[in-house]
Amino acid sequence: MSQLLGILYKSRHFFLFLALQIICFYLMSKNNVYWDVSFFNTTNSVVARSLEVSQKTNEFVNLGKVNDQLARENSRLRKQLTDMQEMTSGIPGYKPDSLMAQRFDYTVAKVVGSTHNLTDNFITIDKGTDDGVRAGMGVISPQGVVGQVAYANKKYSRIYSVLHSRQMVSAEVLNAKLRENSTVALGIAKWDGTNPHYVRLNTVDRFKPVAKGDSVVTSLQNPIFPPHVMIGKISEVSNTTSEAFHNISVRLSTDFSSLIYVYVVKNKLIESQQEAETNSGIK
Amino acid sequence: MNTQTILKIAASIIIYTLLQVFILRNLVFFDVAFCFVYISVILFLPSTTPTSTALLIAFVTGILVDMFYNTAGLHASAAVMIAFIRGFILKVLFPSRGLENEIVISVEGMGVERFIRYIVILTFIHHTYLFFLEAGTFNFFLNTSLKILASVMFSSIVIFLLHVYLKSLRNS
Repeated sequence: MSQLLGILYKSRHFFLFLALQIICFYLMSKNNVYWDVSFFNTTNSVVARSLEVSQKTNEFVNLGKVNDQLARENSRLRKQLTDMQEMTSGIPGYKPDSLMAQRFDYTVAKVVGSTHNLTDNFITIDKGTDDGVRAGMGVISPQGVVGQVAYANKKYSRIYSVLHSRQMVSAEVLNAKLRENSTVALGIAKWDGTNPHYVRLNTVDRFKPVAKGDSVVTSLQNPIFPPHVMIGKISEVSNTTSEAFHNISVRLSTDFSSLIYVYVVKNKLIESQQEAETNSGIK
Repeated sequence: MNTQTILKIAASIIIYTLLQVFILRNLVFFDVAFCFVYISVILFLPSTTPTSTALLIAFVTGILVDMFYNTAGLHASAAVMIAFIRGFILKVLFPSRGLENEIVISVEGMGVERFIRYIVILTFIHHTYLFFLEAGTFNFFLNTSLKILASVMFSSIVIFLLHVYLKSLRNS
């Protein structure tokens, strides 16, 4: 008997090994739902919380990639939105051609350099002719109008910001009264070179009812920007009776100091429009 | 076994488990090379540790890793396996030494070549056991073998470098 006990004692390591392995296999067997569900899985609160921390770090590291994805998705949605808006113009009797409705295309670009407090401000983006960017195309941001492409090489482009002394945007004021009278208050938005948050809108007819707080958007009559992209909100209207135009100050919706992504707008029909306007031979 | 050794072992369990769970869990090369660095806890136990103690330490470490991998018992089983086999491997690698002149498991104590051989052999046993147990069958033999080979290389290198690095930290 003592010999037997002696053998058992000698091989105690082996028995412990066996016991532990049996526990492990017991845990592993799929029939054993209780342990699996209650203790050994990542919903266990301590484990879950620590995994959450690790996941958050991952998310933080991947933020750049996520931003890219979202910007690309936005440009796709924006394209669909303009297509839809153009198809349903709401004007009775007018049916837009589908080619006309789908003339705008968007390219996502990242801002690599910009100024906003000089007299002539430019923005540099990381997309060039390789991605279909050409001089003259419009540029918008998620917040509103940004400017127009001045020059494009293979990889980069330079953009006239709206905050440039020679940059002008064909604008339109939107409000309920104008819609009721079915008139359009057109004007040209232009920066006066002082405050980077405001532009002037000085060519709106004095008899058009505009007020403080009305939205100013890009007009239907421009080939560069899609219609009704936000420019800003009217912050001040002053008119002396002797003048023909309102004196309007517009607070820009785009914050030029914090631009990260912009969309380059490509109008596929711009050449045929320009051709019709210039080469028709009618003087 | 004195308090200092116990503290050292506890620290190594914490360090290697955290490394495994938070960093190396997300590090898989080409979908085949995994890294299971937590076996360092068992590999670098002092050679005088009784097998029973080593088995229990291996079980605890394995269960901790299992909790994060959602695999109840799998890693624990593999860890217990190498804790049991470790004694034999040490005997085979160092037949001349007995309990009187104990083996120090480190680069200086064993020599680089034998130290690496020791790591690779135990890592290989661990990974073979683990991957075949995980696969559950021998049906994906080639795929599993590829995983084992790639993972053994990856894990061994990481285990060796980490050991040398932590050693130099302690000495400095």
